[in-house]
Amino acid sequence: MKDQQMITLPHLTNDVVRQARKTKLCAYSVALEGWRRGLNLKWYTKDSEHFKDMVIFGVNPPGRLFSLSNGEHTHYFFRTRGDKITNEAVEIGSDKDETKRYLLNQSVPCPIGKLFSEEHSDEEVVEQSKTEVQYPLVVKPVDGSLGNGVITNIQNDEEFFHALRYVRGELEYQNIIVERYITGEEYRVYVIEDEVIAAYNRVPANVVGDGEHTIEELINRKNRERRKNARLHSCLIEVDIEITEFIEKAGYNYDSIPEEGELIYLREKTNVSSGGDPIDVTDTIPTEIKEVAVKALKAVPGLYHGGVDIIYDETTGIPPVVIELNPTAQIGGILYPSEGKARDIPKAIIDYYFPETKGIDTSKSKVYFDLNAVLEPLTDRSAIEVDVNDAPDGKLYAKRYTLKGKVRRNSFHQWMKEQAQALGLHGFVQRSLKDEVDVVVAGTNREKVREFRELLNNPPKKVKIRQIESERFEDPIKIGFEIDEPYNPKSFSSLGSAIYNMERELHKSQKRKDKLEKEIDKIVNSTSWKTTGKLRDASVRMKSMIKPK
Amino acid sequence: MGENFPDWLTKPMIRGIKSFNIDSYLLALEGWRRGLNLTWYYDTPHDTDIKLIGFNPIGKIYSLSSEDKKHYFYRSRGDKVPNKAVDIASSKDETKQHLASNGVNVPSGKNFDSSFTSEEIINESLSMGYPLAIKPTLGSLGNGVFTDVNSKEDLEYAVNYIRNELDYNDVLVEQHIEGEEYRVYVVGEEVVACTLKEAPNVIGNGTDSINNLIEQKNELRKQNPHLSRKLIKIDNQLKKQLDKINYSLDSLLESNKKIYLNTVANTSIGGESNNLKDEQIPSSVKHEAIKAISVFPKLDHAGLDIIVRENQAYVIEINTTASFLQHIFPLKGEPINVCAKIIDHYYPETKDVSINSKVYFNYKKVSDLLKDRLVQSVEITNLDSNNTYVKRYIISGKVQGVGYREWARREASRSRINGYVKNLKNGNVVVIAWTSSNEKLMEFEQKLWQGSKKSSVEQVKELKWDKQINVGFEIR
Repeated sequence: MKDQQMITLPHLTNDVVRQARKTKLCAYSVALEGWRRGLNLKWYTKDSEHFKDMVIFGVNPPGRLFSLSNGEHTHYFFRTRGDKITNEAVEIGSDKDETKRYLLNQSVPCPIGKLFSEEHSDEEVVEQSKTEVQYPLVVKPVDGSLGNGVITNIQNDEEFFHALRYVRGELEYQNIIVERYITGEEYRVYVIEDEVIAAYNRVPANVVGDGEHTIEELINRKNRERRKNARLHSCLIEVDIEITEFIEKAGYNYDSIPEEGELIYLREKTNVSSGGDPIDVTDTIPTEIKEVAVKALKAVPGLYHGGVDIIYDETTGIPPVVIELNPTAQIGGILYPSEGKARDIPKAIIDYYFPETKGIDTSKSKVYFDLNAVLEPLTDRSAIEVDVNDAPDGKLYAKRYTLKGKVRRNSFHQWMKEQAQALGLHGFVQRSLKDEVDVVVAGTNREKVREFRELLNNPPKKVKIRQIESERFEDPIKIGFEIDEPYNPKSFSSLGSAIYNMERELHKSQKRKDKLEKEIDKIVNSTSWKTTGKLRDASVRMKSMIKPK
Repeated sequence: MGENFPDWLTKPMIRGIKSFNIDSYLLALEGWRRGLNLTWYYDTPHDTDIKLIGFNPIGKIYSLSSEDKKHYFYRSRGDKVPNKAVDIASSKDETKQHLASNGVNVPSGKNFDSSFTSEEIINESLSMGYPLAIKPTLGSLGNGVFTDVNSKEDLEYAVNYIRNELDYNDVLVEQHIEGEEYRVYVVGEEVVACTLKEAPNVIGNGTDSINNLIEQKNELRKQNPHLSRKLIKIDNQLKKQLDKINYSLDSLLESNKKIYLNTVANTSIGGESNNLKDEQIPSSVKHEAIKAISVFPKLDHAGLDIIVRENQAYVIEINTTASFLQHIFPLKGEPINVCAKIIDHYYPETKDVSINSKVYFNYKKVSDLLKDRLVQSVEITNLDSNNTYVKRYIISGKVQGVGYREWARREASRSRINGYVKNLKNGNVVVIAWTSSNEKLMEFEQKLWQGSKKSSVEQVKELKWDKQINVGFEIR
């Protein structure tokens, strides 16, 4: 099986975005880019005055609403959408029928389709669609999102009724659009005004056989890989009726064992959130697609940037067809694609809103902030607005010191924190279960880091540093200063795993001890023992050497 | 347990908050309860030049704003107090000269700067005549203040201590005025609070030793939130003092005999505070306090130390960033809400706003976040209504270790319910819930039965709750 390669931007590694999932990742990546350029960043709850007039949805828990300011002007953002985009544009984009009207108005190709409301019975839907739209068909909810309830490639009445029962009955989306199903590759294109910033292709959820494991096992294995990926860990392949039916149609079930190298698609739809793989195609897409994408965005007044979903099959000669516009596009897929290059949409968005900061390169930036800690007062609603402390101005110089000796006192760690903060340094103390402790300090001023190192020569009383190892610290640095436990004393699972690890170590040592003792017994009882009396002294020495303390 | 709180405060509101942060918190709380917008800052914002003093301003800078005006505050001081006044008051010598030249009664004395040797100070002081008071000119909080100095030996000790131990160059030597000491808080042209201070003392009952009497006094102090950590310390200085008046710790003190354990009436070393009712405040105190304040242009509010001897009031010190905690938490007398008076002064239009004295916000959380330098500012959620429907619920069943609290917080957030959720030791979960509509609260109660996916709720018991309520919904 092909390993899920981690493709990331150098400044948006897994560590940096660990606390931001799903749409929080979108917001965080844009906010972080602005913050790293020296803009002032504030986060809000939906109760904030500033968002009273902005179309927002799904904003709980906080971490989706923020503003960036250069002191002169401030822009407000909901996820990846900034306040340049008008509310009208957002409303048009969120209604699939309206979108289509605007697109057709500017002669942007989109699939023929028909709108049905709750007044139409399933029978009516089938009858009308058959003649007016024609098979193959796609069914989608009018106001659905993330590919929920989208059923593609419906070939006949039986499949159609089945799909309607699922979407209208089970998922309770009464208002639906029925569209002609267009074959071809699906592209998600991110556009800012006239420019295509990124494009990716989505491959439906899939597994590749190895001739050994069942489809179920392969899915589980793939999910384990996806969990490691900042974007994909919240988009696992979830086994549902759609997958069951889809693979059955292809003649498989969960216990089938695909051959080595055999690619098995698990769904028709390609959404990353339902297990699909994003593949970057920015450099290779045909110009036709780019042209249509830009045109589509322009067709909706006030929509200055956003995502455009396009289907295109180069071999047919049919022009690319726009199937959806997304004013609040998710960008996680293109920040962490499964193939190709990660594309820096946050950079492009900030360039667009704050062109005067264009020259500031953040691609080498290692600095970030503790998102959850910052959002905590908003999460419990004791505050409606938090202003993140400014990013350090300039390149960070960071050192890790590993201190060995009598260094485990809590008061010593607090002392280090105070010293670092007094010097204006960021970093952390990483405690360990051994007689050592790591301290990482970072600052824009090299001298201050040196001063901190000097202070370690005179630690508080009762602390005895036997040895200090130092090295450059290259990993990302959170602003502020934390004292990290080797485990989190407040979390059951963390404590549990710490205990589990310790028990395992203990168990291993016990086993090693038993094994050695057995070997000694063997030696003692062997006939050669009795005949090699001369070596006895040596054996005794060895025994005392390996006997545990 | 059993601590004495004024009726607008409770212990959980100020738990974990220290000294000057309490001043900041209580003043901010008063404004916030009146519906003003409250924001806390890591450092001073650009649109204010409010002067910071002391070494750790974190958690002490905040603003209160209404629709048409915004004021910044540092600790107890608002931006109506001009920085010039703060500068003058930070030097005891300058303050004194300023007061004296404007006809305010102050003790006579002299300031010695670094050009004087300690010997010169002592020689010149001797010529002033005993008793003397010796203090660092730029000191604060009563640090290094020696009063009632009556011998060359004590004089030498005081000067050396201030210069060598405390590292202050400038020493102020004054005539010591023996009399009643008052701490006064003035807002506008009104003395809003006056506390009579007394040096640490014990009164005999004929059966207990001095040691026991001190312990009893300390027990009483422990009941007071402001004094619970400012106990009478049994140390060498105290033993020396007892020795002077021919007592020891083991001496039995005769009935009704009052002895002083120190000559300084500072609460931090065990001094006592007695809030006076308006009619009890000596008119000389009021008069001199108002006069002193008025010679500073625009000093809108401040704390003053005043000593009265033979009906004559002397202004000893003016503090523009005075702590008002001793007025709020006196050892004797009624607590006085100085915060309300200050807010009245800054926002007179909110004077008659009815407030809910049960609501508070979690200051500790905010100040920790600022202390960790993660945020520049935090704006506290506004109170939208003073109508509150409050309930306490005990939820039993399989409710711990199953994500019930996280779930409850999400639901509370959705329904805009305030309060908190907490695991109890007996396996149950307790929820305090409040909101401005009874209907919403009932809906939330119904929801509590659902619980998270993994939980299974057997019972939701509804109980009364009439104690403090926090804004937001916390997991505790």
